[in-house]
Amino acid sequence: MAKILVVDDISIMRQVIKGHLERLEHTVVAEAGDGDKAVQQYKLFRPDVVTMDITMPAENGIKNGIDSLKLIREFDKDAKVIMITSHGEEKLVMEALMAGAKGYILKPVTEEKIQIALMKVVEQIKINTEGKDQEII
Amino acid sequence: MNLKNKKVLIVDDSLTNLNILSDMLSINCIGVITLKDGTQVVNLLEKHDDICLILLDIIMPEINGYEVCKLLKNNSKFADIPIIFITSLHSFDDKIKGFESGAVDYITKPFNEKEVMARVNTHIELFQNRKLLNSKINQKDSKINELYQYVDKYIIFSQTDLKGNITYVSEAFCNISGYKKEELLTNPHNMVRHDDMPKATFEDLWKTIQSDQLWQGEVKNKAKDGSSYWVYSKVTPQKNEEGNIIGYTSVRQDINQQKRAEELHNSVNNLLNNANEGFLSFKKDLLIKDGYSINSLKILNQEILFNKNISNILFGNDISKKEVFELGIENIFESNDELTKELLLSLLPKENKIDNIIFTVDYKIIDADECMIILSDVTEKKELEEKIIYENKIQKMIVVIATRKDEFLELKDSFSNFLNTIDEIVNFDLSIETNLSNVTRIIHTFKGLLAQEELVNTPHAIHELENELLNVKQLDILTNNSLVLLIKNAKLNIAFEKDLTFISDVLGKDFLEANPTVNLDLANYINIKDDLIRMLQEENFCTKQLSSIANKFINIDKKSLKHMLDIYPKRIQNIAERLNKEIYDVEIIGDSSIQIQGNFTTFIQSLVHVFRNMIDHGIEDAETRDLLGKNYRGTVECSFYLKDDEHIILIIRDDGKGIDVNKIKEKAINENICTEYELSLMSDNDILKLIFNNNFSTNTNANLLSGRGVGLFVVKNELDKIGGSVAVQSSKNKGTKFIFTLPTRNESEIIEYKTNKELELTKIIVSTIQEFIEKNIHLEIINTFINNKFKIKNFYSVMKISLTNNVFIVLSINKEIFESFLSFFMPDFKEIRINETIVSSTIDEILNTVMGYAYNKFPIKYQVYELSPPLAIDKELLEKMTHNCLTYNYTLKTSLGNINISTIFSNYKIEVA
Repeated sequence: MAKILVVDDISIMRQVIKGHLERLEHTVVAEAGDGDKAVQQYKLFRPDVVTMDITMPAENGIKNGIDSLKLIREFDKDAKVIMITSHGEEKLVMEALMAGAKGYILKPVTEEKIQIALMKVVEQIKINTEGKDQEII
Repeated sequence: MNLKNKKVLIVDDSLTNLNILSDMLSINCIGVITLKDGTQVVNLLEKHDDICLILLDIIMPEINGYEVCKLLKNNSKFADIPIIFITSLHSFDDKIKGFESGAVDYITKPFNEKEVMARVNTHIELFQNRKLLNSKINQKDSKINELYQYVDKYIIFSQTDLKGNITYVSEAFCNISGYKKEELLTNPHNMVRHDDMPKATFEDLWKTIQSDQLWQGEVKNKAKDGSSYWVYSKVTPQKNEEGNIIGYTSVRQDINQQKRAEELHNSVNNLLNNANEGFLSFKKDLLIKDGYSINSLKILNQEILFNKNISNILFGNDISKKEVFELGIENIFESNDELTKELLLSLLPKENKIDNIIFTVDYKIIDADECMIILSDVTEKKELEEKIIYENKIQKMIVVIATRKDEFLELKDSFSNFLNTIDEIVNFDLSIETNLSNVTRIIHTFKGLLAQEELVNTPHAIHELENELLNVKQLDILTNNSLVLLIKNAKLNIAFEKDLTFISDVLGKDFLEANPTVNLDLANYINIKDDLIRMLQEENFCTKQLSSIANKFINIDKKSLKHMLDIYPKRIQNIAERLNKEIYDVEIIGDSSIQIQGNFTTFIQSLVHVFRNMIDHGIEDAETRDLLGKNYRGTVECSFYLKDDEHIILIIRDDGKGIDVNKIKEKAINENICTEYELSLMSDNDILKLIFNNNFSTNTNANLLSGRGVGLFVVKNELDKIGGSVAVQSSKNKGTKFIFTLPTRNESEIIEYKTNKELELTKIIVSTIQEFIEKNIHLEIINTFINNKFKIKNFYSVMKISLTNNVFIVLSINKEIFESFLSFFMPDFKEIRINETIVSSTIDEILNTVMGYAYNKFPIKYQVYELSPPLAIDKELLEKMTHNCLTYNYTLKTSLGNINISTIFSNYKIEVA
């Protein structure tokens, strides 16, 4: 299954998401508590998917969710980032989608919501790897 | 005219005639073929198609000229060739016969060259002209034929007789109708009529064509296989040369495809217009396209939608939805990625309410720059849902009220009373500030209490009023008069009536009209009843028995504290949910056998304010708790225990952020509750107690649940009423603890005994002893109370008054108090060795002295009774006596311990050693 990087400034939210992902038999390869760490971890672990809290505090020049998403996409144009968001943040989510996010999950995060969001991007992963294999052949 | 190519055939059996005529014609440049025998004429003509005139001798041996002529005229191939007879006959009959057989002219012998040439030339010319004409006619005919074939093939054409029977049909007619020509001919034309066509159409058709006019119109026909086809039909009358109508001609145009498209379009439109949904589409420019369904107009309450801005139409009344919609649509049209488009679509607002119509919006991108919208009117569904929620609330309310009938009826009475006296609630002698504070406190209390009973409308109405009061308070424009108006405008009575109607509808009118009742424990009740019956059966029942029954009866409405607190765990969880706080379920820890007085109910109810405060202000949200390293769920605990016979300790604690003492100090100074100096003298726990003051709230946000700064004041009020006390402990980030001390019994109970003389006497004795001790021994009596149980301490004395029966007075004290007594009677007692004799004589002396005082205080009528000297009766005997006799046991509490005084009213003569 997919290797996932979980980004959220609140550790309990990371735990919740991690729990759901592991029950769905995905592997959480790394966690990050802010946007800057998220970029570092992405470069280090090259996960298949990132779950990114959309509203992380952007104090002292630390990146928020959307900035972090942009940096990750700059580094890897195929990065699959799913935003974690709350009601009333539709405009932020739209900004994230236009910046290349591949999905969003509305809080409260449930296993079902994660599964649906992942299915869409994980399918893409499969198709992409198949494509690559064919190219090699 | 060129005659060179043309030849003349001369048929004559006389060679001479042949030669003369041949020479004559040849000289005139006319080609000649000669035949001596009429039988060869046809053969020759077959070989020569350039013969344009025949000169034919009549009298020939084999076959005469007439016969040859007839032969030729009957042959269509050669009938056209002009024939001139050569004859010597002059008779008129012969000429007639010649013309009849088809000849055009006569040449008579002997030949005159000029005459012959003139006749020959004329007829050749005539023939050639005719031929030319014929070839032209033939040419025209073939064109007409071509046209005819075309018409036959492509034009749906038919003719009928006057009765409408088919006389002619084109191939195209056959093709489209699926019939063969022979199947159609002679049959009535209406065999292709389709059942869908209205009769009136054909009535009109016949009327029109019979009056010699053109009829035209669209007609749906039925083919042989039953399928239908549409034609545009033009029907005209067909006339003969005399101008009489002999039939009708119909030309039809196949409009099947056009009609089919139209039908499809109509049926789609029909479908769209008759669907409950509204359909419309718009382009990138957000302008609505033409071709929306009728229902869209209905749902959006518009008369026309074309070219209007979709964003304004759908979300004009909700800025944030409108912004999300516009940004979303812009991004969707901008994006090339299907997944992104799909995700963006899912973010668009899906519901709105305009002019009381609630509709859902479904989006479909149907083109690179066009979006379709499907609107559904869900008003009814939503209203139904809301109704269900509302009804659930009512049901919840009714369940709560039905199971807590007494509490509710009590509350109902007091709230009704409040509503009835609403005019008097504002006291015009007092300042607006005081009145506002009073009103706020009262309605807030009611709000809490009514909300506890899950009332649907009233708490909400009160909350609205509270908001209103808060608003005007901030504006600083309130007067006593306007306060009265505001309260009346809130129409609390209407909301309350509404709630009561729901209740009486379900539980019956009797339910609300019933007097408050007390739930009795059946076993207790039977016990008391049996006691009473037994007592009444005895001839001489004693006051002791009566007192025992009375005691039991007084306590009959006591309730289990645990049972009363059991309503909270669920309620607290509800509060937490509404405030978005996560807490563990509250456990009520305590012995369910611990009972409290029935009139403690309002205090127990007021505790909801404590719980609300804890959840709202104490427990942090899950994220903050997580940051602080606490369990993300908060804990609220409620426990109680019996401290001693007289006191119950009730502890409510949370593990929240604690109360900030500095904030309380600040607030206390701002609200003029304390001065800075006063605060400096107070301990932190004392300062914490300030939160029980009226109007004390450090929170500025009020909601339906808490934050008015009134709640804890209500708790304190109720606590005072039942004679309890409270202490508060708090430490930062660890939590807050409220410790309530509650009396086990209500002081007012004592009053119940007032009327009996035994108690009267006892009270005189007790108060005399109390007075004596305070005055002479200088020992402060902290508290005086009645015990159910007879208690006796080591140092005791007994005296007897002889009334109708005997009254034994027992005074007992502990060693410490005895010593202080001793020092009063014998200031130098320390030097004396205390032995039993000294002890008993001292205590006897005290009791004797006191009783002397008491005796003087007895009502005069009792003073006739005899007072005995102190008696020596052992403890066991006294205890036994209390079992059978009416006994009052008083306890005086001092700093050195308790003093016990009992009066035993005996029926029996007691033998005293």
